[in-house]
Amino acid sequence: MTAAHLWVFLPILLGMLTFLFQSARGLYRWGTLIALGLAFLAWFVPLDTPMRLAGISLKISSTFELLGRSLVFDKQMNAVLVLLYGISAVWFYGLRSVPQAREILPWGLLFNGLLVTLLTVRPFLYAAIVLEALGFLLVFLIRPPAKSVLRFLAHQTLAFPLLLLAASLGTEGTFFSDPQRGPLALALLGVGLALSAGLFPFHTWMPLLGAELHPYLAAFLLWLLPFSTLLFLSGFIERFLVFAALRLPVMLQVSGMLMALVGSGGMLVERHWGRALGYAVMVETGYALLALSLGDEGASLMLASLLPRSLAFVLWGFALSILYRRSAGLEQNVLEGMGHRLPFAAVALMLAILSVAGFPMLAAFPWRLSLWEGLSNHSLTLGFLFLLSLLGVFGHGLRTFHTLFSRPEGWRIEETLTELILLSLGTFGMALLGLFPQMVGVLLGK
Amino acid sequence: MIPFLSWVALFLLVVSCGGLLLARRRSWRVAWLFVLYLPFAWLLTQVWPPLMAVLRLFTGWIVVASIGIALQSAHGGETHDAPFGPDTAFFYLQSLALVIAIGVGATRPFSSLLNAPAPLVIASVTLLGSGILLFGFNPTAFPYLLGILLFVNGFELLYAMIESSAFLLFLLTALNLLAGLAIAYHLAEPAPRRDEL
Repeated sequence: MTAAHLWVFLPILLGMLTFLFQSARGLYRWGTLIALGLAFLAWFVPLDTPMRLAGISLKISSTFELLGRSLVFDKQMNAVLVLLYGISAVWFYGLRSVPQAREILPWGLLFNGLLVTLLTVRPFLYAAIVLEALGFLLVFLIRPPAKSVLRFLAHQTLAFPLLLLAASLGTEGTFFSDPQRGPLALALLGVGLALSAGLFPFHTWMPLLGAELHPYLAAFLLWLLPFSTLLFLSGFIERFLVFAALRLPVMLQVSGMLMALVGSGGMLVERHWGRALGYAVMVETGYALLALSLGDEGASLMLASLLPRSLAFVLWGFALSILYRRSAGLEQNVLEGMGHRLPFAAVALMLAILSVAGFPMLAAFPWRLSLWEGLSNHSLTLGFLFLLSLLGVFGHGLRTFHTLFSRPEGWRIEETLTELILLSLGTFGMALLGLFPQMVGVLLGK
Repeated sequence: MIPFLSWVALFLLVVSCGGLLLARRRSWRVAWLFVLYLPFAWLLTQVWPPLMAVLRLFTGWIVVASIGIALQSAHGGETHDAPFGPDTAFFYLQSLALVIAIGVGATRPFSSLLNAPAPLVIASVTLLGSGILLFGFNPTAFPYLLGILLFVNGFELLYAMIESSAFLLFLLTALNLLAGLAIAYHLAEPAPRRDEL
């Protein structure tokens, strides 16, 4: 057996089987168990090491070969697998209270399988084709296809030729050894990666997606798609570019800071909270790019910060969908005073926003602090602009607070017991990760 | 003989692209797509083994068949798509001519870089350009997705000059089938969800 059978083919197969039982009650339990099982396997099972299980000798190979190409699971992949399937389990369990978004379950399993393919395929350049396939699959998920989905697909379509052409101009590790082809390859690569990862100015699908879809589905996609594209981008940088050369850190810093500032500016003025969620994803993508600009240490920082980021978006999406179900939409004016009726959802939403803003004692705080320190050591201007972007997100948090608790109404608790438990668990998790950031290392298996 | 046939194939491909751009009825667009895969496969034989090109031709026709069946079952093939951009045949013909001119201009650098035959480069650029014109000027999902499919096919032709591995054929075949199914799925009438019955 190979790792690809477990974390690529099995979830894809189970995802397809789930389509047959999509309307069954309690399906979310099976989805959660499947995702949790896969996360635990990634945590416990060593690759390429023989083990005995119930008297049977078993070895899970890290490499799967197909038509002369391979899917290779390196050591770093274990952390990604734990994170991907662990957080997916949380998303799937949330469907208990948000059955309207139940399409997440089969598609989520399918997307996870594809995402793992994307990160493990060798030569790595084929990942661009897998990303394009993921774009086409979104057309099946959202019917009729939303504008944002078509835009995402168009961006991936424009990106994959550029990336494949760029990658074909050199081999991994010796990419810019040819001085004649180097600049051409860099130009192709720069535009291709910007399109693929939704970097400024190709970010427009993110806020649009937040406005067009059910908030839980939107939050799930806004978690998963940038998660895939970011890891893809980081893999590309790691394999193809000589980091210090070609002013790559500067390019990442400029691009990341633009994303963070445009995103936080958007959050500050946006009056549709679904769209604001899209802008928050932009901000997070910007921070991930800034982390990548710090070199190897920054890459670890980026990987570790994916857990608090994921948790914040799960809580954000869940709280928004509770508010959405009890109101006529996600425009600011219709959500006024909702905090008095749904205090737990309102507080969870506030905490998710504040966590993205790097508020102390919340999940993202230690990672924001490390990033700020790294950036400030590099350049004080960058450190200042980083703080400015955090202020934009914080401003959105304050406005959210004011809107939700503005009208003086009597206090009620309209959330169901399940919602209360899930919101409390999410909030507790955020606080726990903020107070004990070393848990991220333990959870991701170092 | 063979180079002459490549130019004939290129001509047929340009005509098909023109048909795809100018047609408003969806059934005509599907018919032009069917025609397009013949010269497409012939041009592929210039750089790929014939068997791979034949496989690619059948994949293309399967895509067309799935779109055609979905279209027939949903609307009887009579639906029109109105673009939001300039809606004159002249604009599209002009744009197509411009795309072909770019293709002709690209032959020299591509020939020196990849040792690529001229008809292949022009055909590839024509497909890429037609794809962009289709998805750039159409708000409705059908021509938009069709444009994306054309763009992918255009790049396939270009990339075939760089690599001709079985794995690449497998990936591109899967991608094309997925695109075809996505278009067909979009066209088919949605089944009501159990909780909506």
